[in-house]
Amino acid sequence: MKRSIAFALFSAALLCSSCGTDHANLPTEFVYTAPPTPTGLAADPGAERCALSWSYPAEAMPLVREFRVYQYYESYDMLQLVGTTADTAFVDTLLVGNLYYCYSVSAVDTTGFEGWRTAAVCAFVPTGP
Amino acid sequence: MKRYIAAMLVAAALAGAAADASAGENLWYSVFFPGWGQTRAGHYGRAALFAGGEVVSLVALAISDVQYDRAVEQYDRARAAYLGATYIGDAVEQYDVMREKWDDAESLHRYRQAAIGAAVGVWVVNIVDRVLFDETRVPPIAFAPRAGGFAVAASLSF
Repeated sequence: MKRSIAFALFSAALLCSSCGTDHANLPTEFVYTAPPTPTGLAADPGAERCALSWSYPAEAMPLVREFRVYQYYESYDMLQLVGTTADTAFVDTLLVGNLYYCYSVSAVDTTGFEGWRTAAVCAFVPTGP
Repeated sequence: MKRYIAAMLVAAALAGAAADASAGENLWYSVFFPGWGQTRAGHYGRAALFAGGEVVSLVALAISDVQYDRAVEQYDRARAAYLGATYIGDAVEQYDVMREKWDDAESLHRYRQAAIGAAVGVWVVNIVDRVLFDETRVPPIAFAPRAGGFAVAASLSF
């Protein structure tokens, strides 16, 4: 009799615990709105430096806090942030010459949300004089 | 579901109060443990069916319950990662992960509900079986403890 009472109590407890938890509702829609992606990224290499410039829609500029400039390491498929700017141009300095450098840029809106990064643009940086 | 549980608990309480009653005693054994009343009445096949069905249902329920809790935990983590994303690429990726985890939790929730239904169903059918077919059959071979050993009794029915 004791075993059957224990079994009944165990069953009831298991059933009670099972109907207690529940998963929350899924957010039905994708809630993020990303700032537009910069276009026309161009690299202008110099001696141990590389100047970058890009275009951005004028109407979207007030919503942009900054642009993030990344260096792209093709061998590792890895991005590294090299700097930020509020302008549509950036100069990466103190580079080691005689190497290829690849860059990608993204826009960050006033809430701190970062939009899609551009495709990497590469340039050969020569050594200094 | 809560009605079933309440009914089970009330039945268990009533069974406890009536445990000493001789009339319909097997019914109360079945209330406590599906198949036990049938065993006492000599219906071993049905007893095995009910007891086995109940145990299998409860084991399935326990497994699906643990897996469901784990899936909910993973979904919550994916949801937090999605809501905390600061890059559109991460947000898109985490949204897909979150949807996948939600689907997992949803299907495990259905399995769990099915296991609960099976456990309650077996229990109810076991009770109905005792109520409708309460005849006691003399077991063909019975063992009974005696001082210093067992007594084995065999019966023949025509």
